[in-house]
Amino acid sequence: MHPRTATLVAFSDAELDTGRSQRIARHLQDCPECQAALDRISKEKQDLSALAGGAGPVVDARRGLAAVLATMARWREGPAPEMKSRARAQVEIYFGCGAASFMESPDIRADELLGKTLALMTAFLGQEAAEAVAGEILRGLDCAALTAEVLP
Amino acid sequence: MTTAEDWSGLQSAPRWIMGVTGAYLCLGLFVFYVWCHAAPALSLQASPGDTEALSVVGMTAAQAWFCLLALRSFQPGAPLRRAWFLIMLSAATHLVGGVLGQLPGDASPIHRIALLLSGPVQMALLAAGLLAALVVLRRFGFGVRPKATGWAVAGILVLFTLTRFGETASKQVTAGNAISLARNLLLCVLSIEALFLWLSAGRMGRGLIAKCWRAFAIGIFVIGFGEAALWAIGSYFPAWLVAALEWYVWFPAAAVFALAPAHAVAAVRRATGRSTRSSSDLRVPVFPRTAAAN
Repeated sequence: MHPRTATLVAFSDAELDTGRSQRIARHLQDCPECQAALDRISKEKQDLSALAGGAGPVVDARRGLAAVLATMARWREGPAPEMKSRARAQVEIYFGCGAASFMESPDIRADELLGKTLALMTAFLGQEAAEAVAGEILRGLDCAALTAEVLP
Repeated sequence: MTTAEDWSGLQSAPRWIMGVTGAYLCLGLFVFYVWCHAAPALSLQASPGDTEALSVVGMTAAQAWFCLLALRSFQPGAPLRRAWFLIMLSAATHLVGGVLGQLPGDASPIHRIALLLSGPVQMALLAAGLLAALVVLRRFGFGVRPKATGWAVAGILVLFTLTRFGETASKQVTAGNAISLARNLLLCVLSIEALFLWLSAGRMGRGLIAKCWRAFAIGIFVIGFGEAALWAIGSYFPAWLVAALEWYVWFPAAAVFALAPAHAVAAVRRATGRSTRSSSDLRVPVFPRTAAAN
């Protein structure tokens, strides 16, 4: 099923959450029709921006798509397994093995697992502690550098 | 990282509570032994009740303080904040009741207020707090269905408290009896909550948060089974001995109740103490948004 034009506009404006962006990006990979629609949206926005005297940032939807795809690839092969293992370790420390095995289905994505872990930590330890645990999980994975790398 | 030798800071609070409780119980047993032998020989009339009550009040103060620290970890609107608030109120009420109960005059209105605060009021607040916690545990997938064994254990406690309820109800209705009736009913509710908490914590594992909620369940079981044991031996042993033994129920129970929030505080301190990253580094990168910014 093709995403609606409004969704593609939101995607090109980076207004969708990570999970939804990734779903749209996956669809765009295999759908030339939607890719063309995204190009049209991008061009229209550039035209509008030019009419307005170049005010405001011009969003290159193609670049956004490339970034999301690159990120997805990274999640699959790069820091993802390490992140999963760290998230599991943190849940085991604060909750126990039962909680760690209970929350992890075999095909869970690393970012989903991280989200679940942080939701659990926020609920039972509070926001500050959850952020600290997130720091512990992400330490050394250098997500900021990863962002810069996939977005030239 | 916390090590076995690390006894500094709030992270080690559970260890301190366990250590102090163990030492104090050993000392208490020794004093009790000496007192049992010396009192008849020296015609002593006083009992060590006052110091015993103060030790329970001290543990309750520790519980209230740890509950306050745990409560402060949660932002307004956080799911567990209400639970910790009620549990903190329960500890504070118990503390105020305990302090007022030490004032002279057993039949004074203040003493009755103390009994009310440290009895039904405290238990009702604790029951409400634990119920809120159980709702959160269930929401996050730690809900449980007790098996026959669990129901049997809780059933024994409920049966005992209902028996006590029947005993008290058959007597003349006084303020003290009414308080006792309410207390017994609330102990029934707490016993069932303790069963659910115990099983939920068991489903989590052996982590710090699991230990926290398990400790609340243990505290309730100690009170329930301790009171049942005291009631059972009450017919066979002199009243002074039973009164002296009460401390061995109330003090460990108070210690376990202090241990519960101490575990929660230790978990929070452990998490926040180890973080070396600034909060701006902690967010999971959202790449499409970054693309838009470029």
